[in-house]
Amino acid sequence: MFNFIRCSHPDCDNFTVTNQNECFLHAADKEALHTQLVRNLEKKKPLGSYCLTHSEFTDLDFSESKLYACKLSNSIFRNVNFSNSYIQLSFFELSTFINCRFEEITSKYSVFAGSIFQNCSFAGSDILHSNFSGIHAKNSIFDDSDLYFTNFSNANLDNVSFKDCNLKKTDFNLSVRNEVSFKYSNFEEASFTRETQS
Amino acid sequence: MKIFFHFSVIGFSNTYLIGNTAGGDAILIDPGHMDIELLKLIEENNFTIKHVLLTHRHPSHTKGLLTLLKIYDFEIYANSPFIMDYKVKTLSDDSLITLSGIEVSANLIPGHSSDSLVYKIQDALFTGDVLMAGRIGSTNTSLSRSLLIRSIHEKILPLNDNTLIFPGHGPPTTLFVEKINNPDLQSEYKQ
Repeated sequence: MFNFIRCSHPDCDNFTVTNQNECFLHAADKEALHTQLVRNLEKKKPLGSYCLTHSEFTDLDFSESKLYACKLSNSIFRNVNFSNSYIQLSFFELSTFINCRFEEITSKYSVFAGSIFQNCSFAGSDILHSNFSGIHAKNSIFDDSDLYFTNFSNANLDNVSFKDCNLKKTDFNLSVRNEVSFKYSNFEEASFTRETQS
Repeated sequence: MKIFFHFSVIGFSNTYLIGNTAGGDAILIDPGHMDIELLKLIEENNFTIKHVLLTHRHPSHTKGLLTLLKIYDFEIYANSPFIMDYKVKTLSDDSLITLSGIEVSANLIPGHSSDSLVYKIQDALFTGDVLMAGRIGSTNTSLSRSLLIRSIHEKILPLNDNTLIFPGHGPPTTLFVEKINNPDLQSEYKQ
């Protein structure tokens, strides 16, 4: 897991960038830290236990990345390609994703909650046990994906496609859905109302 | 510190393995089911289970003890004195202990069950059935629900917003996400 070390800047509760004393917002050399992370991901270097939040990533190819126990939360991703990536126990919550590709990714136990997705595609992915609660997704695609035990509760979904998906134990409780398609998916095995938890 | 996540299709519950980066003595939280994948996770990371923490007594969080005790020699920690006839080291509210070289604090949050504990290790909070992504634990009565919500407000919500939440069921989340997103907590905020 990334280190739970707080930023040394007064009154800042953010976790530090890995191996630094400050968070990204208060880092002296943001550009160097950003460049190093981008290079590692573009080189397909596996990234484990790494934290860098509140950043921006534009026009990048992070395909075939391997992320384990990383935190890249509160960030903005524009035209970033994560296709064929493996993402496990990683945190992307409260981020913005515009025109991003997550095609054929594997996501396990990862958190995208509270994020905004616009024109994003997760087609053909295994998104298992992941947290998309409270997301705002518009013009986005999850077709042909396995969404077992993934949580979309309280999400706002506008023109989002879940065609031919495995929705067993997928949670759509309290989600607001406009022009959402579940064609060919087993939506009867998803949860749209509260169930008793053991 | 390393945190590993194991999902059991029996009980649909989460088990967490926590240990130091180099391996050695380790903590297991809520072994709802012991299977070959969990054994591999423990052994391939060179861990030996020395301490088991139980968030509450329900079988989907405890049943793996039967098999685990045949493999490892460990102490069990919970709020009840006995779980499935096994003697337990009882933890009360506001307990602070060091297990496998890792500092753990425990808080009693009754409501889902009378013996529900949450465990905090650094900025990771293991909430069992107290708090999950987008919901709080189920309760049998409105009184239990009120008690659960009040306890969450008093003991969990004051923690740092960056706290990572690892629940007994479903995916992980963060405290800030639950504060802004969890309808069970939102409605009470407005009262």
